[in-house]
Amino acid sequence: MMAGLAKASCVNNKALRRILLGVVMTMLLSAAGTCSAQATQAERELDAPHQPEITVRLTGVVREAATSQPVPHALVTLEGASLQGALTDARGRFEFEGAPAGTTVMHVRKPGYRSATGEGDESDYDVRLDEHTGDLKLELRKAGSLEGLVQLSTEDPAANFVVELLRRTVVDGRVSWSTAQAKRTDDQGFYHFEHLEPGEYTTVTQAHLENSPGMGRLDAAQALRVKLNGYPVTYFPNVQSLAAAQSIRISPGERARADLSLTMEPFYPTRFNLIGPDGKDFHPDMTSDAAKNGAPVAVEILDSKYQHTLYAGFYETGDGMVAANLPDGDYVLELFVGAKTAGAAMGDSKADYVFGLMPFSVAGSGRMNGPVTLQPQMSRPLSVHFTQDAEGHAGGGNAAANVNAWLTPAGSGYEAAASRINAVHRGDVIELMYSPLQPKWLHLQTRERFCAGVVRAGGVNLAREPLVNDPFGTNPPADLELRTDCATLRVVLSTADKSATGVVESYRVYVVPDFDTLVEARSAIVTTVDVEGVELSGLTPGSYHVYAVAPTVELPYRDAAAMEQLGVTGQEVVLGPKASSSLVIQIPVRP
Amino acid sequence: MIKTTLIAIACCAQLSGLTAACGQGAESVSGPRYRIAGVVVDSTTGVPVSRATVVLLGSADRRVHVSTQTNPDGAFGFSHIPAGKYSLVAIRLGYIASNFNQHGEYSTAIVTGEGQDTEHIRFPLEASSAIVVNVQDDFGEPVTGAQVHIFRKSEFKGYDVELFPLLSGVTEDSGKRTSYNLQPGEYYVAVSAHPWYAMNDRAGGEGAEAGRAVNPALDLAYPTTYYDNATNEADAAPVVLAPGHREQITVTLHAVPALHLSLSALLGQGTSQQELAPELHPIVFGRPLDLPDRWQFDPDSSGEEINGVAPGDYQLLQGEPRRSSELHLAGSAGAANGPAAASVEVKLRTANGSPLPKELTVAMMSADRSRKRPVVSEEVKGETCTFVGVKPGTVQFHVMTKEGSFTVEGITVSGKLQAEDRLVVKDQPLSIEITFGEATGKIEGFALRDGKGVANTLVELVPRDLQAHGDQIRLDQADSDGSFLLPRVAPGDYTVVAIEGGWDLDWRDWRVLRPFLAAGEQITVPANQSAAVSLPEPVHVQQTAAVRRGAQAH
Repeated sequence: MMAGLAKASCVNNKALRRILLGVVMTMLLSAAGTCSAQATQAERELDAPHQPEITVRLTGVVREAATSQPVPHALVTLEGASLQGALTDARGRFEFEGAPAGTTVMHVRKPGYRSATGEGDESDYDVRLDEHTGDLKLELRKAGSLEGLVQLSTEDPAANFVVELLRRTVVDGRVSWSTAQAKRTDDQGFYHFEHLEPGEYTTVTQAHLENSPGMGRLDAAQALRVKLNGYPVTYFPNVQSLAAAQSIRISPGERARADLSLTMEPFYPTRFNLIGPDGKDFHPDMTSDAAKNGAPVAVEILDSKYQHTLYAGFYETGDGMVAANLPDGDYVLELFVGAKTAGAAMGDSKADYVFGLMPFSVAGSGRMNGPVTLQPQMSRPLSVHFTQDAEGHAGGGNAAANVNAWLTPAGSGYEAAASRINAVHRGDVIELMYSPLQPKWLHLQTRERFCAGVVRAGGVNLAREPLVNDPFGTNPPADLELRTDCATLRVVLSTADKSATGVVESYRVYVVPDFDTLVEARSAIVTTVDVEGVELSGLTPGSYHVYAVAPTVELPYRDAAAMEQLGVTGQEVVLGPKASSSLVIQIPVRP
Repeated sequence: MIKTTLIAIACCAQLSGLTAACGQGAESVSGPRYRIAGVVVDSTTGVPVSRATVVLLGSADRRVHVSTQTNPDGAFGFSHIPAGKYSLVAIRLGYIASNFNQHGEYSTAIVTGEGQDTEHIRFPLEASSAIVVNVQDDFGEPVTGAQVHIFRKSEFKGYDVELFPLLSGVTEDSGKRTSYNLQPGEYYVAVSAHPWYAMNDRAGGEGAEAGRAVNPALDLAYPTTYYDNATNEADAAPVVLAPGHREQITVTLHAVPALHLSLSALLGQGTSQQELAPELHPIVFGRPLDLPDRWQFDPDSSGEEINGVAPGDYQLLQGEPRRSSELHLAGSAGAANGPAAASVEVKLRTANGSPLPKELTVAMMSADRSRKRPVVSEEVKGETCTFVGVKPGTVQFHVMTKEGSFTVEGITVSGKLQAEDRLVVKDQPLSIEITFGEATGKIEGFALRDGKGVANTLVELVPRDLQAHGDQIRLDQADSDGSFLLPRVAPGDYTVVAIEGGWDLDWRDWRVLRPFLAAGEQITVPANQSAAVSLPEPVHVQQTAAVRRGAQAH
C-alpha cells in the first residue's frame, strides 16, 4: 500500500505543465478558425423551435474512413427538438424513424475511434434532410496507438518510468515537436499511448534514478558524496537528443511500436550557490507569488548548445542552492527570477528580472559549482506604431492593445507549441520578457480592423530570422507598424450548392501571404452549403495564395519543404488597400 | 517499534532533488562505533537480492543517516555507527519497499551497542505482485474509463476491518487497468462505469413524450460489478496473489435499464432540492465510493429527477451539515429503503471533565466482524454529532482527533452508564453520551528468550476485560534487543504477552489469547499516569503452534 501511494504522488510536473500549455495553445490557435462554423450552428438553433417539426425516416451506415469497413456499435446522434440516438448494428447500419426534416447536425462516435471530419472524438456532420435523402454514409477514423517496451541494461523490469509522447505539429506555419502525452510504464516496462490522431510521433523516457537520495537532512558536502544509479533521458531509437530521434509515422488505426533500451549510468549530485545582483548571497522573497507556487527560481538544465533537456533542476529552499542529479556530460544551467521575487537583492535596479547562466560539466563525481551570479535584465521592447493613414488613432497612446504577441523557442523546435511566452502591454510598447538563450520566433495577432507591416529589429527581418537576445548587452528595439487600410476576402467553394442534400462537406481555407509578415495566416472553415462563402478580414494589402484543405490539416505555410511534401497548391489573389474581393476556390477531389 | 511512513524515500528523486540526501555521515560524535550488516533476501525463495537500496534512519527522528546498495550477494553493511536505535528500510524494483521485518505499521528497529549482534541481519523483501483487470462490455469490447476499485483483505486476523479500499483507477482505452506493487494476499475487485453510449435524459416539458425516456433502448446503466462477474457483493470472489505473481482477470459489465429517481420521493415533498444538494454514492463493501460527479444533482440538467442510476446499494447525502442515509434501489424505478434505520445522537464527555479537544471525530462501525463493515465518521460540532440511517445491530465507537485516538470508557443510554465501547441499535432513535478518556500511559520493557530478542515478536497489551474493552488493546513489535514500547495506555489492569509469530493470530479473540496469558506479565496502570511504566521483569517470548512446528521441522 505504501509503495503504491508513493508512486501515485510522483506526478511529473514538467511534463504536465508542457501538456497543459500545449492544450491552451491549441485552443487559442483554433479559436479563429472554428468561430464561423459555431455561428452558423447557433443561427440554426435559433430557427429551430419556431416551426412544428416535420420528420422523415433516415437510414445510413458508419464506416471506418481508411478501410471502408463497417463500424458496429457506434453511436449516431441527431440534433432536433430532443437529441435522438441509435447504435449501429453488426453491419454498421443505423436508422431513425423520426428524423427532423431540414438542416440539422449529426454526430458519430465510438471509443477507439476519432473524428473523420475534424479534430476530436466524434465526426460531426451538417446534414440537410428531406423525404428524398438517400442512405447516409458517415465515417469514423480508427485511432492509432503507439506502444513499446522499455528495457533496462540491468534486466530489471522498467516499472513506473515516465515516457513522453512527442508529436510533430505545426505552429503558425512552422513545424515543431511538442509533448502530446506523458505516461508511466506498467510493472513490466510496457507503455501505451492510445487514441492518437494520424501523424508523426516519437517517444522519450525521462531520467529515472534507480536509488533515490531519500529523505532526511544532510548538508551539501554530504549530499555530494552520494553515488546514484539511473537511466539517462533516451529518445527513440535509443539516442540522446531529439535531433537524432526517429520520427514514427502513425496512419489511421495503426498500432505502431517503439521499444527503448536504457543503459544504467551513474548520476551525480550537482549543486550551485547563487549570488544576487547586489553581490550578496541570493535569497528570493519567499512570500512572492512565484515562491508560493513552489518556483521562486526557475531552473532549466540546457545542453551545451543551449537546447532544452528533460533533466530537471531545483531550487532548494532549505539551503538556498540549486541542485540537480545528472549523468556525465556538458550542460548549461539557466536561472530566471522575477523582479518581485528577487526582492531586496534588486537594489535600485529597475530591471524586470534577473537571470543567471553557467556552463558546467559532470564527470565522475558530484560537485559544488558556482557561484552563479544573477544579472539584472530588461525586457525587450516591441514598439507598436500606427501608419500615417491610420484612421482616427483609436488607440492613440495605447496602440499595443490592438496586438497579441508571443514568443516560441526557435532552436530544435522542441516544445515550441507549448512554451508560449506572453508579452506585457504598456501603452504603445509590448514588452517581451523571455529567457535570453534560445532564439525565439515572434508571433502576432492583430485586432480585426488592423493589419501589420514587416517587423524589424536592428535590421533583422523577424519573419525570416528569429529574435536573438544578447543577455549581457543591449538589444535593438523591434518596431511594428499597424495599418488600417486592410483588405477583406470572401472565399466560396467551387462545389457550393444551395440545393445539396445529405452530408455537407467542409474545408479549412488558409489565406497565406506571399510577403513576409509575423501575423498568423488567417484561416476559416467553409462548407458546401455556405453559398455566400466565408469572409476573412484584416488582410495586409499584397499578394496571397489561398488553400483549401481538409479541416484537420494544419498548413506549414512558413516551411516551403513541408508544403511541397504536403503536395497542396494554392490559388493566387492580389488584394489592394481596403479592397473587398472574393474568390471561388476549386475544390480538389478528396483522397 | 512503531514505523512511520517510508513513502518519501522511494519517491521521485527527480522532483525532490536533494532536499533530502543521504551520504556517509562523518558526524563528530565521540564514543564507540558499531557495524550494522546483513543480507537482503527474497522472502519466498531466500535468494539474495542485489542492488537493493538499504537506508539507515534514526529510529526516533526518521532522518536518513546513511544509505547503500546491496552487492551481487545481497550483502550490505554500514560501519562507524554510533550506539543508538535505527530503522532499516530496503527498496528494490519488483519488491515491496519495507521496513525491517515490517508487519502492518510495526517493524523491528536495530539497536547498536555493547553485546548487540547487528552484523547478521537477514532482511526479507517480499516480491511485489500485480492485478491486471480487463473490463469489457456486452459486445465484448473494451470499456474505457471504467473505475476499478481494489480492496485488500487484511493480512492480519486481528484487524478491525477486514476489507480495506486500497487503490482506485480508471481503465485505459484497451479496457485494461494494471495495479502493481501489490503485497501478496487476498484482494477483491469492484468495477463501476456508465455505458459510454447511454442516453438517460427524459423528455421534459409538456405533451405525451414528457417523462418518457427519449431513447428507451439507450436508457441504460451498469450496476457495480465484482469479480468474478457478480453484481451482488456477497458473491464477489477473491483474487489471490502469490509473491511476484501477475494475475489477469476480466470483468464484463452488463447494461441494464437505468432507474430514474424522483427527487420529491427521495427527499420529501416541499423541500428545496437545490439547498439539499443531494448526492448518490454507490456503496461497495460497506464504503460509499466517491465517484466523479456522476449522481450529483444538477438543477439545470436533471430537472426533477436523478437519471441513469443502476440498481444497487447507495448512500444518499443531503443537506447542510451533510446527512447520510442508505438506499437499496431495486429493478423498478421506485426507491426502496433498506432495513429500518435509526438515528443515533451522540453527546461527548471527557472522563476527567476537561473541555473537548478540537476537531474531534467519532467513528462508528458494526461490531459484527464480517467482511461488510462500513465505518462512518462524523465530526463533532459543539458537543454532539448525529449518525443517521444506522442499521439495527451492535455498533462500536471510536473517538479520535487527527493526532490519535482516545479510549471509550463508557456509554450512557437513557441515564444508565455501561462500561463498554459498544451499543445495541434497534429501529428507534437513540440519544447517548460517550465518556472517553485520554490514554496517556506508556509501558516499556523487554521481550526476551534466553536473554535475547527474538525476531518477529508481537508484544500485546491485553486488557483484563478484553471483550468490553477491545479498543484498549495495544501492540508493538520488539526491536532487535527485545525492547518495546506500548503507547497511549488507559488506566486499568493488563497482561503483557510476547508471541513469536503472533502476527498470524487473531489477537482480539480471547479464546486465542488465553493460552498465552499465563506466561505474560501482569501490570496495573494507575490513573493520570503520563510517565512510562517499566516492566520489572522481561516478558518471556512464547511461540505460536505454527512457529513451534516450523522449528521442529528444521
